[in-house]
Amino acid sequence: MVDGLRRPNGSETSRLGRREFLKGALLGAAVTVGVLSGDLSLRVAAQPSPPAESLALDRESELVRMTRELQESLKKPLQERKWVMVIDLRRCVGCHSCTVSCIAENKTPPGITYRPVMIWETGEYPNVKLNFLPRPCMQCDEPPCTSVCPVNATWKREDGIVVIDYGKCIGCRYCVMACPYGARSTDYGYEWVPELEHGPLAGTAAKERQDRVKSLEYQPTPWYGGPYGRGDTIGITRKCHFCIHRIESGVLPACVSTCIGGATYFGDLNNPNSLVNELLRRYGAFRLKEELGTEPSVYYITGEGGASVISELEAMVDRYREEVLLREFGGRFRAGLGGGGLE
Amino acid sequence: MSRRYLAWIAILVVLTVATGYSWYVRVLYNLKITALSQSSTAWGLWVSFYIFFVGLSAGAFLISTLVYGFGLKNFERIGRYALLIAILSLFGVFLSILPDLGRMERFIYLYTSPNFSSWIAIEAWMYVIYIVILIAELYLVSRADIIKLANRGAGGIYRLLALGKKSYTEGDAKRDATIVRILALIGIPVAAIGVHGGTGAIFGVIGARPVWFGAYTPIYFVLSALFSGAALVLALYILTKWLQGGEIDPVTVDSMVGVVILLAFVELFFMFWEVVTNMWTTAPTAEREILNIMLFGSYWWVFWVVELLLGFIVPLGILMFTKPSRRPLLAALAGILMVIGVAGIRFNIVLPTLAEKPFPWMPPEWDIKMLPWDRIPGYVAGAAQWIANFSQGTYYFPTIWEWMLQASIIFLLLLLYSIFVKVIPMEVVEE
Ligand code: SF4
Ligand code: SF4
Repeated sequence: MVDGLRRPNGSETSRLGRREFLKGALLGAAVTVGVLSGDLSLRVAAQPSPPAESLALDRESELVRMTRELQESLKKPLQERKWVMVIDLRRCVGCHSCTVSCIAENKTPPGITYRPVMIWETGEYPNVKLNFLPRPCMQCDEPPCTSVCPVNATWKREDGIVVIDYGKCIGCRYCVMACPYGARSTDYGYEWVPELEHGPLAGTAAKERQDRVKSLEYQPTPWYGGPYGRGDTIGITRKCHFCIHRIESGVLPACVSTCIGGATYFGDLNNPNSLVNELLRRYGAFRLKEELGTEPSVYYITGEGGASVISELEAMVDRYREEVLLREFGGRFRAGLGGGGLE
Repeated sequence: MSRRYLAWIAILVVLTVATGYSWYVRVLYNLKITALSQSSTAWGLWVSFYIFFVGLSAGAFLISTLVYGFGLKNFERIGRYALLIAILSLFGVFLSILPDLGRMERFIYLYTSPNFSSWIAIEAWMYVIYIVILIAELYLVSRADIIKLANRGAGGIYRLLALGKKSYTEGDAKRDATIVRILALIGIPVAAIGVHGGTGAIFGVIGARPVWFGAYTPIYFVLSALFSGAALVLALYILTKWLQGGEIDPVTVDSMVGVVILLAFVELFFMFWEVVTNMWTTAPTAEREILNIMLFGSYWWVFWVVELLLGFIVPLGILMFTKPSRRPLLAALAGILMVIGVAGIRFNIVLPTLAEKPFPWMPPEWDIKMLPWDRIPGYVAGAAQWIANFSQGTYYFPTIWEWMLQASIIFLLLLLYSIFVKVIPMEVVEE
C-alpha cells in the first residue's frame, strides 16, 4: 500500500481508494478520529506547507497554477487569448462568497448583482437536495446582447469578453431584454445606506458614492470603455466583465480567488495545457441554454452524481483525510485535476 | 374662438403644468422614481406608451393615405386631421421614450454613433425620414389655404408660411397634388414597414423573449396601429368640430365608423388566434405561461377590462347599435374607448413577457431593489411603499410619477393639437 502511494510523478489520478488507506495497519486511529471530529484545520495547519506543485488537490496550488497560466497568456496578443470560466458544481456549497466578493470588488450598488448564485430544491421531503448554480455573465461567443445596442456601447473584445462602455450607454435597456441569462441589469442609483440627514449614518451615502467612483470598474481605464471614458454609472446598464481590470494586471477574477469551495476556475482556452482545458477534457461540461446558440464561455461541470451538499462535504472530508494521511506517510503523489476525489 | 374652446384650452394648460411637475422629479432622481427600479422588469409604462404613440402615428398616417394616396373622396375632410395627429403622435413617441432612457442627455448618440444592426437605431432614423414626409405633406395639402389666408391678412404666421408666395395657380395645385401623392405612396412602406413594423421588430427579433419573438409581432403591431389610428382620428374629428361649434360631416363620420368597425374585427380575429393557439398548445411552452400571466395573472384586468370590455365590447356596441352620424358624440366616446383599449394592448405586449424570469430560480437579490425612501418627497413615501408592495419581484405596477409623467405627455399633446387645429387651415378655406 505504501508503495502504491509512492507512484511516479504521473498526472493520473491515483486509483487508490480511501477506504484502503483507512484499513491500513500503519494508520493511527487518532488521525481518523481527529479528522472526522472536524479538527481539520488544526491538523492541516500543523503540517508544514508542501511545495505548490506537490499537491494538485490543494486549493492553493490550483489558484497558483491558474494565476501562473493567466500571466503566461497575458504575454500573448489579445486576439490569441480566450478567457473561459469553468464552474464545478460538485464543489459549489452555495455560500455566496463569489457574489459578495464581486460586490466588494466592483462596488456594485443594490440591485446590481453580477454573479448571483441560484439555489433551488429538488426532490420531495424528506429526500430533498439543494442545487447551487452561480451565474456570471456567460461572455457569449455569439452574444445576442451586443448587436441590439443602438449606439455601439457594448461589444465583444477579441479575447472573448463582452464589455459595456459605461460612458456611452444611453440606458435604453434593450440589451437587458436580449440577454437570455439575465446577466445585465440597470444601475438605478441606489446606495446601500440611504441618504440620511441626521444620526450616525448621516452622509454615508455621499461617501459611498465617492468610494464607488474610486473602483476600477468606474474609471476610464485602457481595459474598459472606449473614447468616452466611464465614470458615473447611474441610469445605465451594467454587467460582469470577468474583472478585466484584475485579469489584465495578472490577477484572477475576484469570484475565482474567493470561491470557498474551490469551484470556480478561470483560464485561457487557447492554452492546451491550462487547467480549464484539462478540466474540460476530463469531465463532461455543459453550458446554460446551449440550444440558443449563444456559445457561452462559462462551462459547468457536474461530473458523476452532480452537485450535492452531502456528497460534497463527504468529498471534502475525504480530501483532507487523504492529505493528512499522505503527509503521515511522507509520500508524494499527483492526483488528478479538479480534485473531485480520488475515486 | 368659442367660449367652450377657450375653457378647454385653459383646462389643458392647467393639467399639463400640474402633471408636468413629474418631469422635474424625473430629471432630479432619474429612474429611481419608477417601479422599474424596484422590480426585475426593465421596461414599463413609458415603453408601452412609446409603442402606443408609434401605433397612433402610423395608423393615422395610413388613414390619411386613403385620401392623398388613393383619392377616396369620402375621407377628404379628415385628411389633414389625420396628418396632424400623426405628427403630434410622433412627438409623443419622442416624449415617452426620452424619460425612459437612463441617460436622457446621451440621446444624441443615436444619431452620432448609430449601430444599424439594432432596430432601435434603425427606428430612430426612420422617425426622422417619416416626420419629414409628414410635415411636407401637411404643408403641401394646406398650402392653397395658407396662401389664401395670407392674402386675406389673417396673420403674420400665414405670410411666413406662404414663403412669399402671393397666388396659387391651377398649375401649383396640380404639382402639389402630384408631390403629395408621391409622398403618400412612399409614406406607406415607411410607416407600415419602417416606422411601425420596425417598432414591432424591436420586440420581434429578441430571441430570448417568448411571445415577443417571431414574425407575428410586427404584423400585430401594424394591425393594432391601423385600428387605434382610425379610432383616434374619428374621435378627434368629431370632438374638434363639436368644441369649435362647427358642422360635423355625416358622410365622413359614417365612412370612418365603417373603417373602424372593420379594423376592430380584424384586430379581434388576430387576438383570438394568438390567445387560442398559445393557450391550446400541446407542450407547456413559455408562451403559454406568459399568456396565462396575461389572462389570469396579475395583469388580468388589463386584458379583460381595459382591452376587451372598454376597447372592444362597449365601443363596438355603441358604433353598431346607434346611428353615429346622428349621435356623433357617442361615436367619439367609442373612438376614445378603443384608443384606451389599444393602450391596454400595448401594455400587455410589453409587461407579461417580462414577468417571466430568465431562470425560474433567480435569487431575490437579483430582482428586489431598495425602496427610494431617501429620494422620494415625504408626502408620497406612504404611497410609494404601498405601490412597492405590488412591485416587488417580477410584478411591475407603475408609480404615481410614471402615471403623472405619462399623463403630462398626453395633456401636452392635446394642448398642442387644440392650438394647431386653430392655426392650420384644417378644411378648405372659402374664397
Ligand atoms: S450572458 Fe447575456 S450579457 Fe453576457 S454575453 Fe451572453 S447575452 Fe451578453
Ligand atoms: S442599455 Fe446601454 S449597452 Fe444596453 S443596448 Fe442600451 S445603450 Fe446599449
